[in-house]
Amino acid sequence: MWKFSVRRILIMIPQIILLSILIFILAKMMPGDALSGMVDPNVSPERLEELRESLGWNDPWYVQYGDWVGGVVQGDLGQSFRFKMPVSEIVGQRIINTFWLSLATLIFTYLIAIPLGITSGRYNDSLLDQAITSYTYIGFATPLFIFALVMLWVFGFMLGWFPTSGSVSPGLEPGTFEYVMSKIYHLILPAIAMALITTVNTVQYLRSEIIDTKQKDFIITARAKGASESRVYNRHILRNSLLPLAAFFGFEITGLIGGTIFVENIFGYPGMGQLFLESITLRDYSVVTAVTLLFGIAAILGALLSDIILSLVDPRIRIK
Amino acid sequence: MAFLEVEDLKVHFPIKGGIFGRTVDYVRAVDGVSLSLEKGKTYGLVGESGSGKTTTGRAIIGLNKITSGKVTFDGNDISNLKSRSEVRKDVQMIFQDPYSSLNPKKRVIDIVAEPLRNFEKLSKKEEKIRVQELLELVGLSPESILKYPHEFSGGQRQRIGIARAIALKPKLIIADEPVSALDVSVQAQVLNFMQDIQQELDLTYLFIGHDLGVIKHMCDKIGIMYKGRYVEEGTTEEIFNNPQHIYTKRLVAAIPDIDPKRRQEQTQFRQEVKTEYEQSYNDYFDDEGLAYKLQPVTDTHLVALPEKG
Amino acid sequence: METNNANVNEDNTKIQKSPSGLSIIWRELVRDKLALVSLIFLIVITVFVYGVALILDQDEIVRVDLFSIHEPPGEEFILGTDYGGRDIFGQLIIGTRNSLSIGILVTLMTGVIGIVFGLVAGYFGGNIDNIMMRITDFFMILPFLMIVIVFVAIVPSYSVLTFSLIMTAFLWMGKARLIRSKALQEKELDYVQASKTLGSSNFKIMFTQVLPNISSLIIVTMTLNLANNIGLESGLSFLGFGFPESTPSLGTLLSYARNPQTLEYRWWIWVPASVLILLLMLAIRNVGEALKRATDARQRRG
Repeated sequence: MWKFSVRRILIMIPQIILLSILIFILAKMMPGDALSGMVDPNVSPERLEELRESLGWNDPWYVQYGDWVGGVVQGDLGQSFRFKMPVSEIVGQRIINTFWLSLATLIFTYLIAIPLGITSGRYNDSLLDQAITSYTYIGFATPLFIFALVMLWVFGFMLGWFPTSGSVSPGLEPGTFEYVMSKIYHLILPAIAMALITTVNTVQYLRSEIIDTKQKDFIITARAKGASESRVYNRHILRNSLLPLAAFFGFEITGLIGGTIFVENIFGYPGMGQLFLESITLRDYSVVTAVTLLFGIAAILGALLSDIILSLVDPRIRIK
Repeated sequence: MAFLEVEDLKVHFPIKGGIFGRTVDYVRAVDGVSLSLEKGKTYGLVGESGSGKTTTGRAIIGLNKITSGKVTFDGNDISNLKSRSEVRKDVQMIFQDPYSSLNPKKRVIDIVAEPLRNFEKLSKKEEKIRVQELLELVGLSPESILKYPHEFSGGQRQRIGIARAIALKPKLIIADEPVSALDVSVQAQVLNFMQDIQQELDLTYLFIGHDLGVIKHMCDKIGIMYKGRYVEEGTTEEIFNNPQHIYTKRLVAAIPDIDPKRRQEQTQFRQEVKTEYEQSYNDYFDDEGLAYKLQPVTDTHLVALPEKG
Repeated sequence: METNNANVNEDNTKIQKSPSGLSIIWRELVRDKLALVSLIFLIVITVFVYGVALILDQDEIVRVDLFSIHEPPGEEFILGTDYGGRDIFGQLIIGTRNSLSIGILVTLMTGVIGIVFGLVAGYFGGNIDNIMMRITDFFMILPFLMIVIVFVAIVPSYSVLTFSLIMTAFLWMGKARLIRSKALQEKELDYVQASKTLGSSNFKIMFTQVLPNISSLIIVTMTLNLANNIGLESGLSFLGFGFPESTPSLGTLLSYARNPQTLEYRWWIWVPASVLILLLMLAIRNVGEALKRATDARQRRG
């Protein structure tokens, strides 16, 4: 276990370094100074030439890279040219919204996946199972953004059950009960929209896992010794089938990163994904660089988490 | 100089371990094997699974990297890759498993013609005629050239494998347990057929196997391997009638005899050998349970015994 | 064991030809009703879209016509018009063609990279495999959508070709991994060893011996990938980081729905495109799943 984790973390270090180099190169390709955000991306080439020296652009690339990484490690993500404030502050405001959206999505994902997966697996080939399987089949083929649009259209506009944009109603005092309720209210539709699509993998996985486990010898033994049906399911099958789900947790994070970009954009929800798209359209490149870096690291950490959980759950992986 | 000469062949596989996957130790699959084989003869390499007999054969033909040692074939050193390309045509192999050794997605004509396409420039028509001749030679219907391997039985598939191996008219064939995956009823057919083509094409065989009955039937000279080393080498006569090493004795004693009158005798012989094996194991193997260096008994008969004195 | 020695060289009419693996898969596919319907639907759509797009004048369709902005479906415009007075039906045809083309192009390009990368890594194994897989892992871990969007935003002289190259650059890894793991298994089989002793080069063994044995797997994954790639492309176009507006795709039509007015009141602009994407993806998936079953069945028959 420890050996595996240490190895896995050692693999992560070059990944993060490579990621930072890739983003550094991308930032260098962007107009203006995408690392510090001190220069207007639309500045004239002549003015840029004058600025070169003061920006340190005549330094060799590794010095520039080192300065940038040094700053990032200390929490300095540069300045936003548009907002005229440190990127870390903007990110700080938005990341909380994305965190809540992601959390709500994860909760809904499991709330949907576990009962559906269990029902589908336990009563496989029943009518109910067929309905659930059809849902996962169609859900798998449906692009998230189309589904989110339809959800917004139906529940936001046509039925008017949910707000159609923002993360909280304006004019509410932070910290009050109404404020919190409004926040939750704004979360529900985007989170459900995202969860309904991302959950289909988990449902399918759980279903086939339970059907597999059902036929294993130790289940037959449990039945043979007279354990009740509910005991067989709760104590034997679920324990074995639900554990691997934990391992998917890290991968869900990676999936959420792509999802939030679409969902936040469609529901006008002010989170990181929205910030990313706004900044890239407004050519606020220092923010783009910072957000890409943060999401990239989040994805790497998610994969790390999954692998370590997986090695805890499945001892076979540790050997390799 | 013999036709095929192997000198002190070693094949070691690294064992990886630790956090960084460094090499921590080696598996000594083949650890100092020497043998020589005359043209037109059959040499039998015998041992239990994991004894290194297959690895020896694969190292000679170049499927496993040789760690050290020298292999000379027909006067050419073929120990490394470069020098091997010249004699590639002349050394061929028959594989143990007739199921996995034929590409399931290829038709018979493509399988048998593969070596021809690599070494001989034939027109489509010439190629087809050659393949049909080869199929006929191994006793298969020439009409089946467009079938797939899964449409044949195990014995038929092994014949396809043999047709492929003899397509280039090789001089030496390494036969890696060619019949052990076949039904007993088909084994004799394939073995007799192999002897027939040996006569016809003047072939030399290196025959790898674990079934002593088969080996006795096929081979002129036998080498017995245990844990990567030779324990005994000699002519078929010497090995079967005068086994010296306890391991060989046990193998010979284990050959079933169908004569019911001799059952008593057999059982007694086996019992004796077993007692001797238990009592004198340490005399025949070193501290690690490996065989000693070979000592000559006669000109052709060698046994692994501790050096005396 | 038959030893029929009838005139070998002259009489070739007797040679029995067995059906190839691909023709068996095809037979299985056609037997599957849902897959057959899906396949016919795909063929009809493809032929229709490419055919009509030949007649349609793309410049005509994307030209702004201020006198017919936001026309609902009617006699003049079957599916109405968008905010620039452009015919939705025409854009739908051209958009479907463009989405299909780029989907196929990206699938083929990622397929080629995945096959070469996966075969080389799996066949040679050892350190080569190690290094190649570390590279794959790294690409795999990148947040695909963000990196692609950044590239699209900053790449100079942006065009359909550069767009498909960018997508390809970050989509080949899944196939490479899959093919690599399959190649690792295959290369241990004796037929690969046999080919070596028969004098075939590594290159030849990889592409003429091993590749046919993983071809069914490749066909199945590429089919399923096609659906994914069309989805990704329309998603990116929806966000405004796919096709330029002068080259409409299905996603471009959907991107008009980012305007709440359009989403709420002008369904004819975005609903047909949504339905079409959904149908395309389902149909391609049906075919893909049927192919998967067909190749499994073949293995069972062995």
